[in-house]
Amino acid sequence: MKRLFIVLILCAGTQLASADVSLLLRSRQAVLFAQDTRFDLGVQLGSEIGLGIERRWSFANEVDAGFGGGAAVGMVLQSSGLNGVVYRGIATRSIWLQGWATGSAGIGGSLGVTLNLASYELTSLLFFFPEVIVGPTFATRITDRASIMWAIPLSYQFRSDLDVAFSAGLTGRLAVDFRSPAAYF
Amino acid sequence: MGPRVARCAILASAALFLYSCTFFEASVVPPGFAIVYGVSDYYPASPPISGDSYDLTYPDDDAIDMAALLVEQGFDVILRTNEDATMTQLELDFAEIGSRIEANGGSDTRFVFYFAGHGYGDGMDSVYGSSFPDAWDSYFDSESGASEPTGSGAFTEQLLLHDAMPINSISVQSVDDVLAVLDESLSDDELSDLLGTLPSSMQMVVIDACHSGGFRGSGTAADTIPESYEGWDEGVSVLDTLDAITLYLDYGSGLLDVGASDVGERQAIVISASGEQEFLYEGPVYGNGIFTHYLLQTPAEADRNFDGLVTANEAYAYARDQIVRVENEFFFGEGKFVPRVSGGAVDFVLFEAR
Repeated sequence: MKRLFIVLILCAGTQLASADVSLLLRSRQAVLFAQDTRFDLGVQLGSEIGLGIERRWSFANEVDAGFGGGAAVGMVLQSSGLNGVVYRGIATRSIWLQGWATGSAGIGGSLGVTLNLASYELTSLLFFFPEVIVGPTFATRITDRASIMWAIPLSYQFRSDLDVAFSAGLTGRLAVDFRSPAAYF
Repeated sequence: MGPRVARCAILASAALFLYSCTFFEASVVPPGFAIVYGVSDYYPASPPISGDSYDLTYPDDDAIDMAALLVEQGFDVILRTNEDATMTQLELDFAEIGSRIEANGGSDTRFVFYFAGHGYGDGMDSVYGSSFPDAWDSYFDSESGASEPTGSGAFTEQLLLHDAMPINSISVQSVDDVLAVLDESLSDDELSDLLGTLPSSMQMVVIDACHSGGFRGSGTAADTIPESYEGWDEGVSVLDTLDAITLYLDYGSGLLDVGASDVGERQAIVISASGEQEFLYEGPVYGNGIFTHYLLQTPAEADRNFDGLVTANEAYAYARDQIVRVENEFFFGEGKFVPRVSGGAVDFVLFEAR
């Protein structure tokens, strides 16, 4: 299934080579604040890596924008056993959609939605939750066809097993552009 | 401007990481209380079925050994075995332990209920064929409450205490006999009610009995292992995914009528020795039931993250892995079994690691 997804992304990238389409590789490191209101707030460290594809637009050389989606896998470590309570670690498989816009200085913002299928660490238990991610971004071009976007994503997870679940962290995203040869002349 | 923003982003992330590390400080384990029941010798007048003894060999030893471990771990334990382990006594013990908890910590305490003995499920006949007495089958066929809502498992499970008559065609011949068995049995919903009387916020249930997976309540997570495990690992299927999404959509809204019963996810962590539709075995090798044998090892073996604490989840994972890797080599098809654990975001410290 994973191989099929990667092949689809590559095929789509090839087919859309004449458009402003980018392949994405992104990594997110975050701190999750989780709470079941019967207990104190728990803090967990999380990490995620994903692939995706997006369409990009440029408006009057002032504003760049993009919209895309992809898939990711990640994990959140369990919290410490403070006062006898531990927030379980989870492993996630997710699909995401995200839009962003940046100004001429490369500074902008992003908004995204992620659908997560997660399993509790050490168990065979599977659960689902959506997540909304928003945050400031900074994009910089490193070559003609590659750029990096940094973001400080703030996310809220709509989890039925927790009363509160939000995270903050850092996302690094590498975008490799597909452009028609004419675009370089 | 650009590098400065990037540096700020990295610094912000590092600050968040360091902030999170402040939570990784030495832990204080709250006081623990436990009720431990084990029944090997059943109803004294129980006639066996054609030479088949209804009694078990190890549950009383399991309970004694588990109680000793809990006492060593600092728990205040009420232990009952065999003729002392009755339904009436259990209700009295829950009232007693509730008083002790109230007087010694209230909600900031841990509670463990452990049971080893016979476990049954209403309506198991539909799964295993006609192995139950006619009176038992016909009673539950006519009871609308016998089958549980989708997502809660198929049946209401019972733990049989000492005075419960054997569920065989000699003892159970009428509706009155069925009711007499149920009076001396602890159902999943009754256990949920008893747990609800205790002030402890950290409750754990450990059951070493056949069909004990049915004590796990419906909630937010779907188990990718079928209730009758036969040894294969299918991974995550499309149906599992749909189950998980269905539970999410139903949670709190009740739109999809998944229903709720048994011991809820936010009520207690349930560790069961078997799935709802699985049997357990006693082996002569260990001097304990197979599941309890491995559970007793967990303070020394199950601290996976080396934090000095063994949580309920870690204890479950250790026992499960040992049974899957070692014990299930000796069983075939439906004879295989695997421990289960309930869902929920929180886990509790069960033992301090040795």
